[in-house]
Amino acid sequence: MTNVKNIKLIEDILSASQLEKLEAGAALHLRHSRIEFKVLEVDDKSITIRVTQSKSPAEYYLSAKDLSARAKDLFGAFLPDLDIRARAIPYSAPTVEVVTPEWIQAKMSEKGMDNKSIVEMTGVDKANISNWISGKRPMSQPVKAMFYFMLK
Amino acid sequence: MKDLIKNIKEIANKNPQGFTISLPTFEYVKTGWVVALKETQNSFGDVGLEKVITTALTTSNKLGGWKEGKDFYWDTVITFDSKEEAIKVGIENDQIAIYHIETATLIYL
Repeated sequence: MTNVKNIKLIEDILSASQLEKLEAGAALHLRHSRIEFKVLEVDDKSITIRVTQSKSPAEYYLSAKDLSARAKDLFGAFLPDLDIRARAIPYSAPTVEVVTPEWIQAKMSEKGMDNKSIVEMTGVDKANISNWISGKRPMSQPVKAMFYFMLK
Repeated sequence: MKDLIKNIKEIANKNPQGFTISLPTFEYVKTGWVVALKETQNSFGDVGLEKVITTALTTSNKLGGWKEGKDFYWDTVITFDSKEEAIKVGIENDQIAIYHIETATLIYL
């Protein structure tokens, strides 16, 4: 398994130990920040890297500028003579991320709904609905989506 | 131990790209410079996880893992507020790099 996608494009210009270190660095970015790197193209003078961040457990998100800087730092450590070009794709939270227990409670109050009406509309059992609305049970993404499209 | 293993595996299965948590709360570690401990390097499978838990419970109470191929690999980690301290401990533990969670900063050692 490789942590840098398309790493084969630079296998001939880096030593085995450099590749190992590059992969180890990329693995840390993936593990802690969900930042991923893909080599798009490389020639004698430059290398183009796509750097993408997805939803991360630590919930810290970098701007496009900072993501580009991380790509340049990571690859620049091993390819100092190449112009490193980064195409950054920052994390963009899905619309349904606004859904929290507080958001649901406010929307239900706005619309004059109670737990019972949600149970009737969705067919989901009362205990689950109550636990999600009170915040006792964390909501998965599909559950957030259900509440979002029902209450938006 | 059985419950710890079960809960950690559940978190791992939700995070095959990797995770780091604190014990006994199972909350994600969200701050600091992360340094992995040498003694838990190359720990994988159930036996590896048990070793990593035991080490974490007697050191930092922090551990994590990631999926590689079919197996999960595990490690005990320590976090530091101080970069200098993290570098020192990282070198002592023969680590390739340390990582700052808040800023997504990697430092090769």
